[in-house]
Amino acid sequence: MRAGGLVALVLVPMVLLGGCVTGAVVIGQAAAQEQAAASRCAGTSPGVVVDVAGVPTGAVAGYSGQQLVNAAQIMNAGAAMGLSVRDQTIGVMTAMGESTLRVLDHGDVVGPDSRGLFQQRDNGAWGTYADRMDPYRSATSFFRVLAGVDGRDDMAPTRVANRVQRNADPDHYTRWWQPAVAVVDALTAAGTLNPAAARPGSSVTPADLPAAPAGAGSAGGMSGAAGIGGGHGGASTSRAGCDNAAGSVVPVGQGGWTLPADGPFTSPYGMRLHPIRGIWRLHGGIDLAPDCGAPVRAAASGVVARSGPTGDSFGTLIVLDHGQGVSTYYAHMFTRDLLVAVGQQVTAGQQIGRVGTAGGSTGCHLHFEVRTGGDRTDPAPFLAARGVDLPPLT
Amino acid sequence: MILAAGLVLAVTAAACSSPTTADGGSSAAELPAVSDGPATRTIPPDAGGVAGPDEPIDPTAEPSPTWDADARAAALEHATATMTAFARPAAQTPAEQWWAGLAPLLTVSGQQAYAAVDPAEVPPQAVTGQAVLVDDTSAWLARVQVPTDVGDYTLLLVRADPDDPAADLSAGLWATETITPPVALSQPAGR
Repeated sequence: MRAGGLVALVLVPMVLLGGCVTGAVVIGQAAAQEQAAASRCAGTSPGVVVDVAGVPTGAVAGYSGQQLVNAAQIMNAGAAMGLSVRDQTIGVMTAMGESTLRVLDHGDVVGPDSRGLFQQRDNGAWGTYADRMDPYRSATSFFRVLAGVDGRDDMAPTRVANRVQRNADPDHYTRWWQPAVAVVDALTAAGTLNPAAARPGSSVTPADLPAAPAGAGSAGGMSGAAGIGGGHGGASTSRAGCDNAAGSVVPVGQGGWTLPADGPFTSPYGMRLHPIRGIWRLHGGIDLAPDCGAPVRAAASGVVARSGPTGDSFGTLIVLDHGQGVSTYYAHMFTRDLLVAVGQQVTAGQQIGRVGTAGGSTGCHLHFEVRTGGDRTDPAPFLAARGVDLPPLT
Repeated sequence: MILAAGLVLAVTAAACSSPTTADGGSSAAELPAVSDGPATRTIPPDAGGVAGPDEPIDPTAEPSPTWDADARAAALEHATATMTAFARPAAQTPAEQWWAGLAPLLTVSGQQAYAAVDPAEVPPQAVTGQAVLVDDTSAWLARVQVPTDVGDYTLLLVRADPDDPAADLSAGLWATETITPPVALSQPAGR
């Protein structure tokens, strides 16, 4: 029985690897890494149990020794609760931003009673002094609250952490996301444990091997590997809900302007019979209708003046201010697909979102407007004058 | 044992092939499938090739914002009001009262961002000086520094949107997007 158990334990990883490596070979290393990043962002990778005794000997993103052991304890507390790699990474990020991954026996100015990795206060919510000073138990307390945060996979990691910590600056943890990703990846690569205890697929050891397919709608994981390998319009691996980083940049012509999305060009500017209301109205912009999720790009360089839900038929809106009274409007993306924040500088051609169908819309498309001095103007001649031609109207 | 291995294989295959396994389902189930995967239209486009009805029906666009003395004065006033509400001493202010004072001064996304903040975690207790406009590069945005008892906070203000029914225009021309602490206050406790 004992021996049988042992053999089974050895066999399980082989079976798991056998089942997934084939796919990884097909989709290629770069695609696999992109997919792993995407599934982390989407929160679809089941958590991994790492070897607390086998952390890397050197430094990872400036963290070493006991700090990495503490990170491993945090990861394992998350995995034990069935949380995702994304959730585990949020836990590590939070402890970096609170304590530099050290079990502190002191607090700070605002919370002199704060203790431990997560600087949990002595207010009854986080257990005893011993609980708060114990890496695994304090992490468990953290994750218990995190697990109740609805819609957290669509929120930026720092905002999820803020829901748990209730700290004064909701963006405080942003700068520790990338270091946390590096530490989680390094600990995962150094060795995972106990495959049978974790969820199916969670014990796949190599860091570059996605344990689960990317977000819903991807081509059936490993069995659809060819589809994944083919790429799809350079979809960014970052998403608003993950790190709020903007995506790739496409080349821009000499005029400094570019198409805000690929075609087809489905509706021009001008008076039209409104498709829902059945009345003649000005269509104040143009519609470009590539597939759902296709990149929305900054038509020119500028600063993000608005980015968020509107409460009207735009659904959501990004406004870019290009100076000299010129602004561009991008509507109908889902909130989770807004990749830029107010105040951020963007360059022409930079991805700022993904095409969606939020608000008054019956199918995925980008509604794009150009305003000069506040007045709507037909984007087609405006863009043409800057060397950008729309595809033929379909 | 062979049976056990076979079972594991089956489970593994399921985990590898189905994009909807495990815990990815919650958000994906609520929203149409906009994803990183090969994109699919969740709703077919209109027959005429018109992808959808669009913009707010009112064709008279709001004027493009410009800087003038009134806008500058309003930005400083709004930033000071925001910081005063944010820094109300938690000991004397119930959390609901603190939020009722702050929320109307924020943008919609600002309200989403700050809704979880515990006023007891807010370091400043008072505004201690005059607000200063530190960035007016875009007429849509204002960065304003407000001195407090724990250092200078930087607030990012956005022009209030007259088209947005959720916006509280009684709060003035501006709405607050972010309230950023001085660098000294944004370090981990261990440092």
